[in-house]
Amino acid sequence: MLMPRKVKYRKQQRGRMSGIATRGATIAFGEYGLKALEPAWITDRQIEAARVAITRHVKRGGKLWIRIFPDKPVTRKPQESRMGKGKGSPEFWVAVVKPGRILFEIEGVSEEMAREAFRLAASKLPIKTKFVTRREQEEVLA
Amino acid sequence: MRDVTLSAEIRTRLGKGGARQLRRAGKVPAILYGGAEPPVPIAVEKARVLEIFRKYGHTSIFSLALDGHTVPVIIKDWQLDPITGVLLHVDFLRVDLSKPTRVKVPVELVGEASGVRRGGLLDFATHELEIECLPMEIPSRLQVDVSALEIGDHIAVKDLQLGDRIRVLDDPERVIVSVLAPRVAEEEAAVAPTMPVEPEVIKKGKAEEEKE
Repeated sequence: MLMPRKVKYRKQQRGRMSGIATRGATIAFGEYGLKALEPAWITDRQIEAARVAITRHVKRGGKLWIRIFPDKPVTRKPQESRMGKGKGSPEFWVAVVKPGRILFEIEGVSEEMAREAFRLAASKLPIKTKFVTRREQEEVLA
Repeated sequence: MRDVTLSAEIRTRLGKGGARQLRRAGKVPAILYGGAEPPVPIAVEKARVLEIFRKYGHTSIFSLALDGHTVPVIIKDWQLDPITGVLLHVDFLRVDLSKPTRVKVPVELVGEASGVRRGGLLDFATHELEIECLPMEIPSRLQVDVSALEIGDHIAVKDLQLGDRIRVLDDPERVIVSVLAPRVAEEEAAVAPTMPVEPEVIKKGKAEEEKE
């Protein structure tokens, strides 16, 4: 599972997810991409499940880029514990995703295969997504 | 230079409100800059700009008609809506046809690499190169023939044969395209060990930092 190797502080405040992605919103490495259309915290497990779904579908060939990284720790308080007594312990990591963010990129596979792989991956994610191509980005086809 | 003229009007209402009003009217806010003259905020017909993008690409030079004059321009930059991909704004650069100019040109791969036919994976690493040449000699795309590439081979910027008139500004060692060996077994193996690992991350203590 993805997580930072080293962090300065173990716990973070939740923060806000307002606005849209101003960075990481264009295809930079591959030919096809999966774009987020809603804001969400995407967990390390969801990213891993999506990655496995893509690699299983494309079998061999194809190069995959994961454009998000879960660098935000999420804490949970133990079950049936009373309120107070400090913040809970870190349980998992999330990537803060805003609408427009490219989540995954792929190249070296056909468009049909990329579409199907990203459809399978999207079903592992808690948000609506869109399939995008480098061509439509370059030629402003939207 | 393309025999295309894009008519533009000077934008009087600037800012968010004016820009939105233009977009609702089927226009795109834009800016014209470069050369000795000051920058001018303008508005152009969206449909016409999209036609230029799709027919000629963003590296073509065409005329911009403004206030009864025409100036040769090139599309320097553009903004798309991050969610919908709709065109929001365009930057036009005034071009002096006698002076070399710098422009980013997309790279196009031609042919099928023989390494790919043997199961290799084509890694197209550099999709765009910055070149310097006279405006009239800007190619719409830089074609790179990959048909001779075997597994493990690559084409770098220095391998390109573009002639004396076009100078590539990127690092000569920069790899444009390579053919990688297929990795099948590796991928599945990578899944297993990552699953159970869940270590606590190393905390960089405050005391440590103060010592530094």
